[in-house]
Amino acid sequence: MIAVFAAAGCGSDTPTTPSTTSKTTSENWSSAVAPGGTSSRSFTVNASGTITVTLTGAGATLGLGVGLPRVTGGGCRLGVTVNASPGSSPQISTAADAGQHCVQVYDLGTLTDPVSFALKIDHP
Amino acid sequence: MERFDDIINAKESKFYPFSVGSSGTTTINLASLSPVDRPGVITATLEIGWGKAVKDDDGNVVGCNLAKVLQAAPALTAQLTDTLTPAADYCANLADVGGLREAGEFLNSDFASMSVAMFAGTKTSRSVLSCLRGS
Repeated sequence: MIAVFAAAGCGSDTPTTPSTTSKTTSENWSSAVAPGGTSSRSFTVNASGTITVTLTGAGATLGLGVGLPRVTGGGCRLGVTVNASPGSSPQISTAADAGQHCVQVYDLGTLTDPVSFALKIDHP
Repeated sequence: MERFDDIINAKESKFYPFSVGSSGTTTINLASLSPVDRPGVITATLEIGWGKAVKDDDGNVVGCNLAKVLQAAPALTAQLTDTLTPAADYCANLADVGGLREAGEFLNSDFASMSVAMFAGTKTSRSVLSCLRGS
């Protein structure tokens, strides 16, 4: 029995690779978008991974996108977009590097009055 | 990280000089291509690349002698990664190879682990192709 323990404890010098766990952050955001307008929010991705965005509430189908914040003037330069109706499953799921990102909700040209919306962003 | 935002027209190309301060990985990421006049994105493939900056007798960067190119659609992860050596003036290039039918704002940005090594060099341009250097 002693021999077995000795072998198990000293028989291998193979280093193990530390596991890396990327903590997922969830952010909830609600606002409104006007006819012809846009509404944006920035967030920080701390490590490469997947960004998911779920439009959980809205009174209409809206444009939904993820991109990079504009350098000047506010707003968002979009890299990924969908036409989104509210639901419980993510409408956007996209790989992203670490850094500043943004989500934007925009009128698809159908709004006649401002519409409130709510969404959830999950990211590393 | 350097980031370049600009407008590109169909059949047009644009380049952005940058310097490398120390050896390391340089990544180029075409992150966004969007219409000028409305929200949304343009679904198109552009050619991104890097090369050596071409200078005139006065030291002005007048061109980009491309060393590596690839075609890429906008994404939020880097499309081009290479190890560049310091003490050379480089350029990032973006070109429409037929995919653009309307003028679009493009954004090329580089995230990756925002290495300070990038800024050991001198930024010579800013505008939407971005180069980020990691160690």
